[in-house]
Amino acid sequence: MSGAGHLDAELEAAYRARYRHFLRVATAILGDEMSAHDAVQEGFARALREQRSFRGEGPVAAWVWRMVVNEALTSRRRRVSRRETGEVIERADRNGWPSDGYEIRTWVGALPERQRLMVYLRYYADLDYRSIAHVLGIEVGTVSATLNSAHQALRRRLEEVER
Amino acid sequence: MDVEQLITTELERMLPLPSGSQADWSDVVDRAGVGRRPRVARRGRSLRLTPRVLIAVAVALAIAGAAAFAAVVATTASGTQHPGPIVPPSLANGHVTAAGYAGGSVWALTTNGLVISANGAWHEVTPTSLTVTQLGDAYFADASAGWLIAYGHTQPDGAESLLVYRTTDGGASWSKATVDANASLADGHGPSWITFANQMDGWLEVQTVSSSNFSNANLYRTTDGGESWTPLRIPIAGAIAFPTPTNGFVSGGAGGMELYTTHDGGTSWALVSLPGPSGQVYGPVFSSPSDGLVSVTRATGSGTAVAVYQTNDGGTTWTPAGSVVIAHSRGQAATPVAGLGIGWLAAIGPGGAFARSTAGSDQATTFNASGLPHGKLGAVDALEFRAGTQDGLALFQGGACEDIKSTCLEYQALYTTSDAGSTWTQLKP
Repeated sequence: MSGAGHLDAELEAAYRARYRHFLRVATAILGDEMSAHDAVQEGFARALREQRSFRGEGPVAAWVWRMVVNEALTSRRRRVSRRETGEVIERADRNGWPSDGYEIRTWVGALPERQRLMVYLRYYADLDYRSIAHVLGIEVGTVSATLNSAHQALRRRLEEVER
Repeated sequence: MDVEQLITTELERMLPLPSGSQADWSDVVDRAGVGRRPRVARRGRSLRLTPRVLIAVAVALAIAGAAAFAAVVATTASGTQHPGPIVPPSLANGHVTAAGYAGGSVWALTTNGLVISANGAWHEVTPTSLTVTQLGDAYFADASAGWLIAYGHTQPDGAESLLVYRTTDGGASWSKATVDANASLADGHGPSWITFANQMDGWLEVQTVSSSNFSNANLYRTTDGGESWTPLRIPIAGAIAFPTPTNGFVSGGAGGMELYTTHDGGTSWALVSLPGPSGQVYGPVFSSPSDGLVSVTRATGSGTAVAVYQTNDGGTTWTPAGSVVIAHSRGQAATPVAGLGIGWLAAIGPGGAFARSTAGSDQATTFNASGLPHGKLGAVDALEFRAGTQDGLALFQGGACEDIKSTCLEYQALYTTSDAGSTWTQLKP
């Protein structure tokens, strides 16, 4: 079990070692790197602020991944909310993806949010199923089933194109 | 075609791993200071570490790490020299971040979870739930009845829900109530506080995320022992105290210098003007529905002035109960104060530096307690005493560096006294 002081070092180590992966997942969620950078920093800052509440039920890395993902999702919700009130949001389309014509991007963007999030964590963060389960606070079996559903949906799209 | 391979290839092509330099970690540390709140104290029943002292310790650690720390000489408030380095106390079972009395027992929130002492031994009583991801504050009215704030990811999009677990058997079993499903926590949250005036009337406060120029929080009230909660407005974020179901206080705000009171259970609030100059407010802490204390700490030309005020009418009026001027600076930190039945004890720090009022007068004397870590890198951050006794608890926030190249360690430890703060012994939950 890590103490709060040790968590400082672990968080800093995770930040330095995996910053680019955090940034990539946040960019996938938000659609632009600048906002993603902000989400990553705020996610880690929140982890620092709230480290005393870390219960050690999983790796520290999974806990901070959750912070960053939640920050990115929250940021995107705010953007959507502003857009609904008339403010122009640039480069936000298709669940956060910039719309530039890539089929696979469109397909992934059309997945339900939980499936899409798991795709990001699996392929952009390179997390295994157990780590994803820790990040999202769900069972490993749920991760497997959800990713399987995402794969099936994408496979159907692919088969439609190939026909 | 292998779908996984296609996804891997296409996603990699569309969004390669970003290259280039990354932002400095210090930017993250700076951000972590945003929205921090002042000291915690509520009704004299529990105690918790406060971010302002955490910041002060972190800054001191940074300074100590930059200098040859092995040669640091720590100076107590009385000027006694203690050679460094400072050795932190044993933290075999984790740091203690909050604690309080539960009747004849002591409860503590540690990095292991919630633990309660019974028959000289500590027992973990953390509620087991698949949905709980973080623990917030706790409050125990006695050895049986307690409440615990928790956060859980119960929403499909990962947003957090605010939960309260309540027990009537000392933590052997818990019931869960959802206070806020997710709407108010969409932007995250800061520290939380929970307190009860009796076993039915309680309040829960969660600081919301904002810049350091603002101090906002969500307040919820229960009148059925924690089964259901109703949102209310609160003017600032900070520690709450409710000596009665109607009379309550919140201290803090963006600068940590504000004190508000309510006389209708938290529906409406009014600013309180204490006699004397303004400063960092700690408390109030109540030992009964009528008797309470509050401290005000401010910088002066000759050091730091700590003034203590008391009330004997539930907070309607406040009168000076003594003051001290200390040579060192407490920075932006308020001064923990607790009642001793007759008189009060204030942790004026650093190390084990205290001020204690002379019984029956408004005079105060300073002294250095034994048993607490000495030195500049640490101070008592919160105090709690059993009403009318000399038995108390103190949360100590400290730091230590082994040498110039070592990572400095912050630590939080719990201490107990039975002689009004003269000597302290570490409790190890």
